[in-house]
Amino acid sequence: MSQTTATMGERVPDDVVEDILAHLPVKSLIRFRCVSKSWNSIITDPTFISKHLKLNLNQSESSMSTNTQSGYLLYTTEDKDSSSSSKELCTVVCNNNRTLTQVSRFEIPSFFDKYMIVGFCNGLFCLASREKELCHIIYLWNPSIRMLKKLVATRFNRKHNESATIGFAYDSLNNDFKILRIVCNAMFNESEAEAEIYTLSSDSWRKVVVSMESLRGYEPNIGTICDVWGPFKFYNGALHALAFTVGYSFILSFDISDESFHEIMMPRNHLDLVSINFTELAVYKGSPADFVFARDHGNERGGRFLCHIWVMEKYGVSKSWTRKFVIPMEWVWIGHFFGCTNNGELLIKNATGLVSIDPESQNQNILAIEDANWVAFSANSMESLVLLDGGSFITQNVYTDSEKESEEEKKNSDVCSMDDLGSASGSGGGLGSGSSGDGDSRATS
Amino acid sequence: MALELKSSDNKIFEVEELVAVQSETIKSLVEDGCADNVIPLPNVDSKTLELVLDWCKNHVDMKLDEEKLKEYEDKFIEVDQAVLYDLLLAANYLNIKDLLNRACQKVADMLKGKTPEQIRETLNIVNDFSPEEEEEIRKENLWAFEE
Repeated sequence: MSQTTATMGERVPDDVVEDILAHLPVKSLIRFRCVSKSWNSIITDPTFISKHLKLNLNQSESSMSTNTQSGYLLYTTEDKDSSSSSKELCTVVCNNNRTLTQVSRFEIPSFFDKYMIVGFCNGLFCLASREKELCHIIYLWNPSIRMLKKLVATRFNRKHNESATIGFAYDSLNNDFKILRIVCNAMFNESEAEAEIYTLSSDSWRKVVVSMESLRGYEPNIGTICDVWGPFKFYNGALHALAFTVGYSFILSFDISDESFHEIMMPRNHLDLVSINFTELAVYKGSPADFVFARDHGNERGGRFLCHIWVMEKYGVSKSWTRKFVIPMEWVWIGHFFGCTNNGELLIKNATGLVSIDPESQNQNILAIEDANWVAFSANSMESLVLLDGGSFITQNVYTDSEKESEEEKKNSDVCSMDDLGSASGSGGGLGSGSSGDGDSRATS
Repeated sequence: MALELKSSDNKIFEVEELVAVQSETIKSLVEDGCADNVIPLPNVDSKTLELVLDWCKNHVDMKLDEEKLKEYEDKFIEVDQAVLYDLLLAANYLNIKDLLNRACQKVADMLKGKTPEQIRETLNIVNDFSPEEEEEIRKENLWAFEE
Protein backbone atom coordinates (compact mmCIF):
# COMPACT_ATOMS: atom_id res chain seq x y z
CA MET A 1 0.00 0.00 0.00
CA SER A 2 1.43 3.34 -0.97
CA GLN A 3 1.48 6.01 1.61
CA THR A 4 -0.83 8.23 -0.39
CA THR A 5 -3.63 5.69 -0.44
CA ALA A 6 -3.41 5.16 3.28
CA THR A 7 -3.74 8.88 3.86
CA MET A 8 -6.59 9.02 1.36
CA GLY A 9 -8.82 6.82 3.42
CA GLU A 10 -8.48 9.06 6.42
CA ARG A 11 -9.10 12.22 4.49
CA VAL A 12 -12.36 11.32 2.81
CA PRO A 13 -15.22 12.83 4.79
CA ASP A 14 -18.50 10.96 5.29
CA ASP A 15 -20.57 12.99 2.89
CA VAL A 16 -18.07 12.31 0.11
CA VAL A 17 -18.12 8.61 1.00
CA GLU A 18 -21.88 8.74 0.54
CA ASP A 19 -21.53 10.41 -2.84
CA ILE A 20 -19.12 7.71 -3.95
CA LEU A 21 -21.35 4.93 -2.68
CA ALA A 22 -24.32 6.40 -4.55
CA HIS A 23 -22.48 5.68 -7.79
CA LEU A 24 -21.93 2.00 -7.03
CA PRO A 25 -23.98 -0.83 -8.48
CA VAL A 26 -26.40 -2.65 -6.19
CA LYS A 27 -24.39 -5.86 -5.89
CA SER A 28 -21.29 -4.02 -4.69
CA LEU A 29 -23.29 -2.02 -2.18
CA ILE A 30 -24.83 -5.10 -0.62
CA ARG A 31 -21.37 -6.63 -0.35
CA PHE A 32 -19.95 -3.46 1.16
CA ARG A 33 -22.45 -3.58 4.00
CA CYS A 34 -19.79 -5.78 5.62
CA VAL A 35 -17.04 -3.18 5.41
CA SER A 36 -17.90 -1.45 8.65
CA LYS A 37 -20.86 -0.52 10.84
CA SER A 38 -20.76 3.00 9.49
CA TRP A 39 -20.94 1.82 5.86
CA ASN A 40 -23.74 -0.58 6.77
CA SER A 41 -25.85 2.18 8.27
CA ILE A 42 -25.20 4.50 5.32
CA ILE A 43 -26.18 1.85 2.79
CA THR A 44 -29.36 0.82 4.59
CA ASP A 45 -30.48 4.35 5.36
CA PRO A 46 -33.70 5.44 3.57
CA THR A 47 -32.21 8.80 2.59
CA PHE A 48 -29.27 7.08 0.93
CA ILE A 49 -31.54 4.58 -0.80
CA SER A 50 -33.51 7.47 -2.21
CA LYS A 51 -30.34 9.28 -3.28
CA HIS A 52 -29.04 6.16 -5.01
CA LEU A 53 -32.38 5.70 -6.77
CA LYS A 54 -32.49 9.27 -8.04
CA LEU A 55 -28.94 9.09 -9.31
CA ASN A 56 -29.68 5.87 -11.16
CA LEU A 57 -32.85 7.37 -12.61
CA ASN A 58 -30.94 10.35 -13.97
CA GLN A 59 -28.27 8.13 -15.44
CA SER A 60 -30.73 5.78 -17.07
CA GLU A 61 -32.68 8.70 -18.48
CA SER A 62 -29.63 10.22 -20.09
CA SER A 63 -28.62 6.91 -21.60
CA MET A 64 -32.05 6.07 -22.94
CA SER A 65 -31.75 7.41 -26.43
CA THR A 66 -28.44 6.00 -27.49
CA ASN A 67 -27.06 4.98 -30.83
CA THR A 68 -26.69 1.35 -29.98
CA GLN A 69 -29.85 0.23 -28.28
CA SER A 70 -33.57 0.82 -28.28
CA GLY A 71 -34.82 -0.38 -24.94
CA TYR A 72 -35.06 -3.59 -22.98
CA LEU A 73 -37.19 -6.67 -22.82
CA LEU A 74 -38.02 -8.28 -19.52
CA TYR A 75 -39.43 -11.78 -19.49
CA THR A 76 -40.04 -14.77 -17.27
CA THR A 77 -39.10 -18.24 -18.30
CA GLU A 78 -38.49 -21.73 -17.00
CA ASP A 79 -34.86 -22.42 -16.20
CA LYS A 80 -34.41 -25.62 -18.12
CA ASP A 81 -30.81 -26.17 -17.04
CA SER A 82 -31.48 -26.17 -13.35
CA SER A 83 -32.70 -29.39 -11.80
CA SER A 84 -35.10 -27.57 -9.53
CA SER A 85 -36.87 -26.16 -12.60
CA SER A 86 -37.16 -22.70 -11.13
CA LYS A 87 -38.52 -19.75 -13.02
CA GLU A 88 -36.28 -16.86 -13.87
CA LEU A 89 -36.73 -13.21 -14.63
CA CYS A 90 -34.45 -12.17 -17.47
CA THR A 91 -33.57 -8.79 -18.88
CA VAL A 92 -32.09 -8.33 -22.33
CA VAL A 93 -31.14 -5.19 -24.16
CA CYS A 94 -32.53 -4.66 -27.66
CA ASN A 95 -29.56 -3.75 -29.80
CA ASN A 96 -30.25 -1.68 -32.86
CA ASN A 97 -29.08 -4.51 -35.10
CA ARG A 98 -31.98 -6.56 -33.76
CA THR A 99 -29.88 -8.82 -31.58
CA LEU A 100 -30.56 -9.23 -27.90
CA THR A 101 -27.89 -9.24 -25.23
CA GLN A 102 -28.52 -10.55 -21.76
CA VAL A 103 -28.21 -8.01 -18.99
CA SER A 104 -29.40 -9.91 -15.96
CA ARG A 105 -31.08 -13.06 -14.80
CA PHE A 106 -32.76 -13.52 -11.43
CA GLU A 107 -34.42 -16.49 -9.86
CA ILE A 108 -38.10 -16.01 -9.10
CA PRO A 109 -39.23 -17.25 -5.66
CA SER A 110 -41.28 -20.38 -6.22
CA PHE A 111 -44.31 -19.20 -4.28
CA PHE A 112 -44.76 -16.46 -6.87
CA ASP A 113 -46.39 -19.15 -9.00
CA LYS A 114 -49.68 -18.09 -7.49
CA TYR A 115 -49.05 -14.43 -8.29
CA MET A 116 -48.97 -12.35 -11.39
CA ILE A 117 -46.95 -9.30 -12.27
CA VAL A 118 -49.28 -6.30 -12.35
CA GLY A 119 -46.61 -3.72 -12.92
CA PHE A 120 -42.94 -2.86 -12.67
CA CYS A 121 -41.09 0.36 -12.41
CA ASN A 122 -37.49 1.37 -11.87
CA GLY A 123 -36.35 -2.06 -10.79
CA LEU A 124 -39.28 -2.77 -8.50
CA PHE A 125 -42.02 -5.27 -9.34
CA CYS A 126 -45.55 -5.47 -8.02
CA LEU A 127 -47.29 -8.83 -7.88
CA ALA A 128 -50.87 -9.61 -6.90
CA SER A 129 -52.35 -12.89 -5.89
CA ARG A 130 -54.32 -14.84 -8.46
CA GLU A 131 -56.21 -17.15 -6.17
CA LYS A 132 -57.51 -14.46 -3.90
CA GLU A 133 -59.63 -12.81 -6.50
CA LEU A 134 -59.88 -9.50 -4.81
CA CYS A 135 -56.09 -9.36 -4.73
CA HIS A 136 -55.72 -8.19 -1.20
CA ILE A 137 -52.32 -9.84 -0.88
CA ILE A 138 -49.76 -7.92 -2.88
CA TYR A 139 -46.00 -8.26 -3.03
CA LEU A 140 -43.35 -5.71 -3.89
CA TRP A 141 -40.24 -7.43 -5.22
CA ASN A 142 -36.80 -6.05 -5.89
CA PRO A 143 -35.02 -8.88 -7.71
CA SER A 144 -31.65 -7.11 -7.85
CA ILE A 145 -31.26 -7.24 -4.07
CA ARG A 146 -33.35 -10.39 -3.61
CA MET A 147 -35.86 -8.73 -1.31
CA LEU A 148 -39.59 -8.63 -1.16
CA LYS A 149 -42.28 -6.99 0.90
CA LYS A 150 -45.70 -8.38 1.60
CA LEU A 151 -48.61 -5.97 1.65
CA VAL A 152 -52.10 -6.71 2.89
CA ALA A 153 -54.84 -4.51 1.50
CA THR A 154 -58.42 -4.18 2.71
CA ARG A 155 -60.19 -7.44 2.60
CA PHE A 156 -63.62 -6.93 1.11
CA ASN A 157 -66.39 -9.41 1.71
CA ARG A 158 -67.25 -10.83 -1.63
CA LYS A 159 -70.98 -10.66 -2.03
CA HIS A 160 -71.73 -10.39 -5.68
CA ASN A 161 -69.37 -10.00 -8.54
CA GLU A 162 -66.78 -7.71 -7.17
CA SER A 163 -63.44 -7.66 -8.85
CA ALA A 164 -60.22 -5.85 -8.09
CA THR A 165 -57.85 -4.02 -10.38
CA ILE A 166 -54.33 -3.05 -9.43
CA GLY A 167 -51.96 -0.39 -10.72
CA PHE A 168 -48.32 0.20 -9.75
CA ALA A 169 -46.30 3.33 -10.44
CA TYR A 170 -43.47 5.59 -9.35
CA ASP A 171 -44.44 9.12 -8.41
CA SER A 172 -41.38 11.09 -9.47
CA LEU A 173 -42.73 14.34 -8.03
CA ASN A 174 -42.88 12.91 -4.54
CA ASN A 175 -40.17 10.23 -4.92
CA ASP A 176 -42.52 7.49 -3.89
CA PHE A 177 -43.79 4.17 -5.17
CA LYS A 178 -47.55 3.82 -5.12
CA ILE A 179 -50.11 1.09 -5.65
CA LEU A 180 -53.73 1.74 -6.62
CA ARG A 181 -56.39 -0.87 -5.92
CA ILE A 182 -59.94 -0.49 -7.16
CA VAL A 183 -62.73 -2.87 -6.26
CA CYS A 184 -65.85 -2.67 -8.40
CA ASN A 185 -69.18 -4.37 -8.35
CA ALA A 186 -70.28 -5.66 -11.71
CA MET A 187 -73.93 -5.40 -10.74
CA PHE A 188 -74.90 -1.99 -12.00
CA ASN A 189 -75.52 0.60 -9.34
CA GLU A 190 -75.25 -1.89 -6.51
CA SER A 191 -72.47 -0.01 -4.80
CA GLU A 192 -69.82 2.55 -5.50
CA ALA A 193 -66.45 1.43 -6.71
CA GLU A 194 -64.00 1.59 -3.84
CA ALA A 195 -60.40 2.55 -4.20
CA GLU A 196 -57.40 2.65 -1.95
CA ILE A 197 -53.82 3.66 -2.44
CA TYR A 198 -50.62 2.35 -0.89
CA THR A 199 -47.52 4.50 -0.64
CA LEU A 200 -44.14 2.97 0.14
CA SER A 201 -43.02 6.04 2.05
CA SER A 202 -45.84 5.69 4.58
CA ASP A 203 -46.05 1.89 4.26
CA SER A 204 -49.81 2.11 4.60
CA TRP A 205 -53.07 2.04 2.68
CA ARG A 206 -55.41 4.99 2.45
CA LYS A 207 -58.88 5.24 0.97
CA VAL A 208 -59.33 7.31 -2.18
CA VAL A 209 -62.69 8.58 -3.31
CA VAL A 210 -63.66 7.55 -6.81
CA SER A 211 -65.85 10.44 -7.66
CA MET A 212 -67.61 10.53 -10.97
CA GLU A 213 -68.14 14.27 -10.52
CA SER A 214 -64.46 14.74 -11.01
CA LEU A 215 -64.79 13.16 -14.40
CA ARG A 216 -65.59 15.68 -17.05
CA GLY A 217 -67.82 15.11 -20.03
CA TYR A 218 -71.25 13.69 -19.38
CA GLU A 219 -74.13 14.46 -17.05
CA PRO A 220 -73.64 13.61 -13.39
CA ASN A 221 -75.31 10.64 -11.81
CA ILE A 222 -74.68 8.24 -14.64
CA GLY A 223 -73.93 5.54 -12.18
CA THR A 224 -70.88 3.93 -10.80
CA ILE A 225 -67.95 2.28 -12.45
CA CYS A 226 -68.93 -1.36 -12.67
CA ASP A 227 -65.86 -2.91 -14.18
CA VAL A 228 -62.22 -2.12 -14.78
CA TRP A 229 -59.99 -4.22 -17.00
CA GLY A 230 -56.55 -4.22 -15.49
CA PRO A 231 -53.86 -4.15 -14.58
CA PHE A 232 -53.37 -0.44 -15.04
CA LYS A 233 -50.69 0.75 -17.44
CA PHE A 234 -48.52 3.63 -16.34
CA TYR A 235 -47.59 6.44 -18.70
CA ASN A 236 -47.82 10.23 -18.90
CA GLY A 237 -47.65 10.34 -15.12
CA ALA A 238 -50.92 8.44 -14.69
CA LEU A 239 -52.29 4.93 -14.41
CA HIS A 240 -54.71 3.98 -17.17
CA ALA A 241 -57.22 1.17 -17.61
CA LEU A 242 -60.34 0.47 -19.62
CA ALA A 243 -63.40 0.99 -17.44
CA PHE A 244 -67.11 0.36 -17.90
CA THR A 245 -70.16 2.11 -16.62
CA VAL A 246 -73.79 2.04 -17.71
CA GLY A 247 -73.86 2.22 -21.46
CA TYR A 248 -70.30 2.93 -22.37
CA SER A 249 -66.64 2.29 -21.82
CA PHE A 250 -63.92 4.82 -21.19
CA ILE A 251 -60.33 5.03 -20.04
CA LEU A 252 -60.07 5.60 -16.33
CA SER A 253 -56.91 7.49 -15.55
CA PHE A 254 -55.41 8.17 -12.16
CA ASP A 255 -52.82 10.91 -11.81
CA ILE A 256 -50.20 9.40 -9.56
CA SER A 257 -48.94 12.65 -8.07
CA ASP A 258 -52.12 14.48 -7.17
CA GLU A 259 -54.08 11.23 -6.87
CA SER A 260 -57.08 12.37 -8.89
CA PHE A 261 -59.25 10.36 -11.24
CA HIS A 262 -60.03 11.43 -14.77
CA GLU A 263 -62.00 10.07 -17.65
CA ILE A 264 -60.80 9.77 -21.22
CA MET A 265 -63.51 8.98 -23.72
CA MET A 266 -63.07 6.12 -26.14
CA PRO A 267 -63.94 6.50 -29.83
CA ARG A 268 -67.62 5.92 -30.43
CA ASN A 269 -68.59 2.39 -31.39
CA HIS A 270 -65.02 1.24 -31.76
CA LEU A 271 -65.93 -2.04 -30.15
CA ASP A 272 -68.92 -2.56 -32.43
CA LEU A 273 -67.21 -5.24 -34.39
CA VAL A 274 -68.34 -8.78 -34.78
CA SER A 275 -66.49 -11.41 -32.82
CA ILE A 276 -64.08 -9.47 -30.72
CA ASN A 277 -61.62 -11.83 -29.13
CA PHE A 278 -60.29 -9.27 -26.71
CA THR A 279 -59.23 -5.65 -26.43
CA GLU A 280 -56.35 -4.21 -24.50
CA LEU A 281 -54.89 -0.80 -23.81
CA ALA A 282 -51.21 -0.12 -24.39
CA VAL A 283 -48.93 2.73 -25.41
CA TYR A 284 -48.15 3.20 -29.08
CA LYS A 285 -45.14 5.46 -29.59
CA GLY A 286 -45.98 7.53 -26.53
CA SER A 287 -49.72 7.82 -27.20
CA PRO A 288 -52.56 5.91 -25.56
CA ALA A 289 -53.77 3.17 -27.85
CA ASP A 290 -56.43 0.49 -27.83
CA PHE A 291 -55.70 -2.81 -29.51
CA VAL A 292 -58.78 -4.74 -30.60
CA PHE A 293 -58.19 -8.33 -31.64
CA ALA A 294 -61.15 -9.56 -33.64
CA ARG A 295 -62.28 -11.98 -36.28
CA ASP A 296 -62.93 -10.50 -39.67
CA HIS A 297 -65.97 -12.03 -41.32
CA GLY A 298 -66.10 -9.44 -44.05
CA ASN A 299 -63.36 -11.20 -45.93
CA GLU A 300 -64.42 -13.60 -48.65
CA ARG A 301 -61.88 -16.14 -47.46
CA GLY A 302 -63.63 -15.85 -44.15
CA GLY A 303 -62.34 -16.26 -40.65
CA ARG A 304 -59.35 -13.94 -40.88
CA PHE A 305 -58.05 -12.53 -37.67
CA LEU A 306 -57.36 -8.84 -37.41
CA CYS A 307 -55.82 -6.44 -34.96
CA HIS A 308 -57.34 -2.95 -35.04
CA ILE A 309 -55.10 -0.32 -33.53
CA TRP A 310 -56.77 2.86 -32.33
CA VAL A 311 -54.40 5.62 -31.31
CA MET A 312 -55.29 8.77 -29.41
CA GLU A 313 -53.00 11.12 -31.28
CA LYS A 314 -53.41 13.92 -28.78
CA TYR A 315 -53.43 12.85 -25.16
CA GLY A 316 -56.78 13.53 -23.51
CA VAL A 317 -58.48 14.75 -26.67
CA SER A 318 -61.04 12.10 -27.51
CA LYS A 319 -61.72 13.54 -30.97
CA SER A 320 -58.15 12.63 -31.83
CA TRP A 321 -58.77 8.88 -31.70
CA THR A 322 -57.77 7.41 -35.04
CA ARG A 323 -57.95 3.85 -36.22
CA LYS A 324 -54.36 3.90 -37.37
CA PHE A 325 -53.81 0.31 -38.44
CA VAL A 326 -55.70 -2.85 -39.19
CA ILE A 327 -53.28 -5.74 -39.29
CA PRO A 328 -54.08 -9.27 -40.33
CA MET A 329 -52.36 -11.79 -38.14
CA GLU A 330 -52.31 -15.26 -36.70
CA TRP A 331 -54.68 -15.98 -33.86
CA VAL A 332 -53.66 -14.40 -30.54
CA TRP A 333 -55.02 -15.59 -27.23
CA ILE A 334 -55.98 -13.15 -24.53
CA GLY A 335 -53.00 -12.60 -22.31
CA HIS A 336 -50.57 -13.09 -25.17
CA PHE A 337 -50.35 -9.48 -26.24
CA PHE A 338 -47.64 -7.75 -24.26
CA GLY A 339 -47.80 -4.14 -25.34
CA CYS A 340 -45.48 -2.29 -27.70
CA THR A 341 -41.82 -1.40 -27.88
CA ASN A 342 -40.52 2.15 -28.25
CA ASN A 343 -40.62 1.68 -32.01
CA GLY A 344 -44.29 0.78 -31.91
CA GLU A 345 -43.78 -2.92 -32.55
CA LEU A 346 -46.35 -5.21 -30.97
CA LEU A 347 -45.05 -7.92 -28.68
CA ILE A 348 -47.11 -11.00 -29.29
CA LYS A 349 -46.97 -14.68 -28.52
CA ASN A 350 -48.60 -16.64 -31.31
CA ALA A 351 -48.27 -20.07 -32.84
CA THR A 352 -44.83 -19.13 -34.19
CA GLY A 353 -43.58 -18.15 -30.78
CA LEU A 354 -42.66 -14.80 -29.30
CA VAL A 355 -42.64 -12.21 -32.06
CA SER A 356 -42.61 -8.49 -32.60
CA ILE A 357 -44.85 -7.15 -35.32
CA ASP A 358 -44.30 -3.80 -36.98
CA PRO A 359 -47.75 -2.36 -37.69
CA GLU A 360 -46.51 -0.22 -40.59
CA SER A 361 -44.73 -2.89 -42.57
CA GLN A 362 -46.66 -5.77 -40.99
CA ASN A 363 -43.35 -7.59 -40.73
CA GLN A 364 -43.10 -10.17 -38.05
CA ASN A 365 -39.77 -10.70 -36.30
CA ILE A 366 -39.17 -13.76 -34.21
CA LEU A 367 -37.56 -12.77 -30.94
CA ALA A 368 -34.55 -14.79 -29.94
CA ILE A 369 -35.91 -15.43 -26.50
CA GLU A 370 -36.46 -18.81 -24.97
CA ASP A 371 -40.06 -19.75 -24.31
CA ALA A 372 -41.43 -16.94 -22.16
CA ASN A 373 -44.61 -16.77 -20.10
CA TRP A 374 -44.62 -13.05 -19.59
CA VAL A 375 -42.85 -10.33 -21.54
CA ALA A 376 -42.70 -6.59 -21.28
CA PHE A 377 -40.82 -3.78 -22.91
CA SER A 378 -39.02 -1.24 -20.79
CA ALA A 379 -37.31 1.95 -21.90
CA ASN A 380 -34.80 1.69 -19.09
CA SER A 381 -33.14 -1.01 -17.08
CA MET A 382 -32.17 -0.11 -13.61
CA GLU A 383 -31.51 -1.55 -10.25
CA SER A 384 -32.11 0.07 -6.92
CA LEU A 385 -31.87 -0.57 -3.21
CA VAL A 386 -35.57 0.07 -2.64
CA LEU A 387 -36.94 -2.32 0.00
CA LEU A 388 -33.51 -2.78 1.59
CA ASP A 389 -34.68 -0.81 4.61
CA GLY A 390 -37.99 -2.54 5.09
CA GLY A 391 -38.37 -5.73 3.16
CA SER A 392 -37.69 -9.39 3.78
CA PHE A 393 -34.86 -11.42 2.36
CA ILE A 394 -35.84 -14.11 -0.05
CA THR A 395 -34.95 -17.30 1.70
CA GLN A 396 -36.59 -20.67 2.02
CA ASN A 397 -38.28 -19.43 5.19
CA VAL A 398 -40.25 -16.84 3.33
CA TYR A 399 -41.73 -19.53 1.14
CA THR A 400 -42.82 -21.77 4.01
CA ASP A 401 -44.11 -18.85 6.10
CA SER A 402 -46.24 -17.76 3.20
CA GLU A 403 -47.76 -21.22 2.89
CA LYS A 404 -48.54 -21.35 6.59
CA GLU A 405 -50.22 -17.98 6.38
CA SER A 406 -52.51 -18.89 3.55
CA GLU A 407 -53.61 -21.95 5.52
CA GLU A 408 -54.50 -19.75 8.48
CA GLU A 409 -56.28 -17.26 6.33
CA LYS A 410 -58.52 -19.92 4.90
CA LYS A 411 -59.47 -21.11 8.38
CA ASN A 412 -60.22 -17.68 9.80
CA SER A 413 -61.61 -16.22 6.68
CA ASP A 414 -65.16 -15.09 6.34
CA VAL A 415 -64.46 -14.19 2.78
CA CYS A 416 -65.92 -16.40 0.14
CA SER A 417 -62.71 -17.23 -1.62
CA MET A 418 -61.89 -19.20 -4.69
CA ASP A 419 -60.51 -22.28 -3.06
CA ASP A 420 -59.68 -23.99 -6.24
CA LEU A 421 -56.01 -23.10 -6.12
CA GLY A 422 -54.80 -24.69 -9.27
CA SER A 423 -57.44 -23.41 -11.57
CA ALA A 424 -56.98 -19.71 -12.11
CA SER A 425 -58.97 -19.93 -15.28
CA GLY A 426 -57.08 -20.68 -18.38
CA SER A 427 -53.61 -20.24 -17.06
CA GLY A 428 -51.04 -22.77 -16.12
CA GLY A 429 -49.84 -21.02 -13.05
CA GLY A 430 -48.68 -17.78 -11.66
CA LEU A 431 -46.46 -15.62 -13.68
CA GLY A 432 -47.84 -17.53 -16.58
CA SER A 433 -50.40 -16.01 -18.79
CA GLY A 434 -49.53 -12.39 -19.15
CA SER A 435 -50.34 -9.30 -17.26
CA SER A 436 -53.88 -8.63 -18.25
CA GLY A 437 -55.71 -11.08 -16.10
CA ASP A 438 -56.56 -14.63 -16.78
CA GLY A 439 -58.87 -16.46 -19.11
CA ASP A 440 -62.38 -15.16 -19.33
CA SER A 441 -62.57 -13.16 -16.18
CA ARG A 442 -60.81 -10.16 -17.56
CA ALA A 443 -61.75 -7.93 -14.73
CA THR A 444 -59.72 -9.72 -12.15
CA SER A 445 -56.13 -8.87 -11.87
CA MET B 1 -14.80 40.52 -14.33
CA ALA B 2 -11.86 38.74 -12.82
CA LEU B 3 -11.49 37.13 -9.43
CA GLU B 4 -8.38 36.21 -7.54
CA LEU B 5 -8.10 32.85 -5.84
CA LYS B 6 -5.31 31.85 -3.48
CA SER B 7 -4.34 28.21 -3.06
CA SER B 8 -3.19 26.62 0.19
CA ASP B 9 0.41 27.04 -0.90
CA ASN B 10 -0.13 30.75 -1.46
CA LYS B 11 -0.24 30.82 -5.23
CA ILE B 12 -2.62 33.37 -6.74
CA PHE B 13 -4.83 32.46 -9.69
CA GLU B 14 -6.67 35.08 -11.66
CA VAL B 15 -9.90 33.79 -13.20
CA GLU B 16 -12.93 35.09 -15.02
CA GLU B 17 -15.96 35.30 -12.73
CA LEU B 18 -17.97 33.23 -15.20
CA VAL B 19 -15.47 30.41 -14.84
CA ALA B 20 -15.07 30.65 -11.08
CA VAL B 21 -18.76 30.63 -10.24
CA GLN B 22 -19.05 27.05 -11.49
CA SER B 23 -18.08 26.54 -7.89
CA GLU B 24 -21.19 27.08 -5.81
CA THR B 25 -18.97 27.99 -2.89
CA ILE B 26 -17.30 30.82 -4.79
CA LYS B 27 -20.64 31.80 -6.31
CA SER B 28 -22.13 32.40 -2.85
CA LEU B 29 -19.14 34.50 -1.87
CA VAL B 30 -19.57 36.62 -4.98
CA GLU B 31 -23.29 37.03 -4.36
CA ASP B 32 -22.66 38.00 -0.77
CA GLY B 33 -20.23 40.61 -1.92
CA CYS B 34 -17.22 39.00 -0.25
CA ALA B 35 -15.20 38.51 -3.39
CA ASP B 36 -13.59 41.88 -3.74
CA ASN B 37 -10.29 40.81 -2.32
CA VAL B 38 -8.33 37.66 -2.90
CA ILE B 39 -10.39 34.59 -2.02
CA PRO B 40 -8.36 32.19 0.11
CA LEU B 41 -8.85 28.46 -0.52
CA PRO B 42 -6.86 26.82 2.27
CA ASN B 43 -8.12 23.36 1.38
CA VAL B 44 -6.90 23.26 -2.20
CA ASP B 45 -3.26 23.20 -3.28
CA SER B 46 -2.08 24.95 -6.43
CA LYS B 47 -1.62 21.78 -8.45
CA THR B 48 -5.20 20.73 -7.84
CA LEU B 49 -6.61 24.22 -8.20
CA GLU B 50 -5.01 24.51 -11.61
CA LEU B 51 -6.73 21.32 -12.73
CA VAL B 52 -10.05 22.39 -11.25
CA LEU B 53 -9.92 25.74 -13.00
CA ASP B 54 -9.12 24.00 -16.26
CA TRP B 55 -12.27 21.91 -15.82
CA CYS B 56 -14.33 24.99 -15.10
CA LYS B 57 -12.95 26.93 -18.03
CA ASN B 58 -13.61 24.12 -20.47
CA HIS B 59 -17.14 23.73 -19.17
CA VAL B 60 -17.77 27.35 -20.02
CA ASP B 61 -16.07 27.12 -23.43
CA MET B 62 -17.54 23.82 -24.55
CA LYS B 63 -20.97 24.31 -23.03
CA LEU B 64 -22.78 23.86 -26.31
CA ASP B 65 -20.75 20.97 -27.67
CA GLU B 66 -21.83 17.89 -25.74
CA GLU B 67 -19.65 15.46 -27.59
CA LYS B 68 -16.50 17.53 -27.25
CA LEU B 69 -17.21 18.07 -23.59
CA LYS B 70 -17.66 14.38 -22.94
CA GLU B 71 -14.37 13.67 -24.71
CA TYR B 72 -12.66 16.26 -22.54
CA GLU B 73 -14.21 14.91 -19.34
CA ASP B 74 -13.19 11.34 -20.12
CA LYS B 75 -9.60 12.38 -20.69
CA PHE B 76 -9.55 14.73 -17.74
CA ILE B 77 -10.54 12.09 -15.22
CA GLU B 78 -7.82 9.66 -16.29
CA VAL B 79 -5.48 10.58 -13.49
CA ASP B 80 -3.72 8.56 -10.85
CA GLN B 81 -5.39 7.79 -7.57
CA ALA B 82 -3.71 10.48 -5.50
CA VAL B 83 -4.68 13.22 -7.94
CA LEU B 84 -8.18 11.76 -8.23
CA TYR B 85 -8.71 12.03 -4.51
CA ASP B 86 -7.39 15.56 -4.44
CA LEU B 87 -9.83 16.46 -7.19
CA LEU B 88 -12.64 14.73 -5.34
CA LEU B 89 -12.01 16.66 -2.15
CA ALA B 90 -11.56 19.93 -4.00
CA ALA B 91 -14.79 19.43 -5.92
CA ASN B 92 -16.57 18.74 -2.65
CA TYR B 93 -15.08 21.74 -0.89
CA LEU B 94 -15.71 24.07 -3.81
CA ASN B 95 -19.08 22.48 -4.51
CA ILE B 96 -18.65 21.87 -8.24
CA LYS B 97 -21.43 19.37 -8.91
CA ASP B 98 -20.43 17.95 -12.26
CA LEU B 99 -16.80 17.47 -11.28
CA LEU B 100 -17.82 15.86 -8.01
CA ASN B 101 -20.16 13.54 -9.86
CA ARG B 102 -17.52 12.53 -12.38
CA ALA B 103 -14.84 12.00 -9.75
CA CYS B 104 -17.19 9.93 -7.58
CA GLN B 105 -18.11 7.80 -10.57
CA LYS B 106 -14.44 7.17 -11.31
CA VAL B 107 -13.70 6.18 -7.72
CA ALA B 108 -16.81 3.99 -7.64
CA ASP B 109 -15.64 2.24 -10.81
CA MET B 110 -12.36 1.48 -9.07
CA LEU B 111 -14.06 0.10 -6.01
CA LYS B 112 -16.93 -1.86 -7.44
CA GLY B 113 -15.40 -5.27 -7.99
CA LYS B 114 -13.59 -5.42 -4.69
CA THR B 115 -14.22 -7.51 -1.61
CA PRO B 116 -14.96 -5.83 1.71
CA GLU B 117 -11.42 -6.67 2.84
CA GLN B 118 -9.93 -4.93 -0.13
CA ILE B 119 -12.12 -1.90 0.45
CA ARG B 120 -10.95 -1.63 4.03
CA GLU B 121 -7.35 -1.80 2.89
CA THR B 122 -7.75 0.75 0.11
CA LEU B 123 -9.58 3.26 2.24
CA ASN B 124 -7.97 2.44 5.54
CA ILE B 125 -11.21 1.56 7.29
CA VAL B 126 -11.33 -0.38 10.53
CA ASN B 127 -13.67 -3.34 10.66
CA ASP B 128 -15.78 -2.76 13.75
CA PHE B 129 -18.08 -5.72 13.15
CA SER B 130 -17.75 -8.80 15.30
CA PRO B 131 -17.18 -11.98 13.28
CA GLU B 132 -20.74 -13.08 14.09
CA GLU B 133 -22.26 -9.79 12.95
CA GLU B 134 -20.33 -9.86 9.70
CA GLU B 135 -21.28 -13.47 9.11
CA GLU B 136 -24.95 -12.60 9.60
CA ILE B 137 -24.85 -10.06 6.78
CA ARG B 138 -22.93 -12.39 4.49
CA LYS B 139 -25.35 -15.23 5.11
CA GLU B 140 -28.36 -13.16 4.15
CA ASN B 141 -26.69 -11.97 0.98
CA LEU B 142 -24.64 -14.91 -0.27
CA TRP B 143 -25.43 -14.05 -3.87
CA ALA B 144 -23.59 -10.72 -3.58
CA PHE B 145 -20.37 -12.53 -2.71
CA GLU B 146 -20.51 -15.01 -5.54
CA GLU B 147 -18.74 -14.80 -8.89
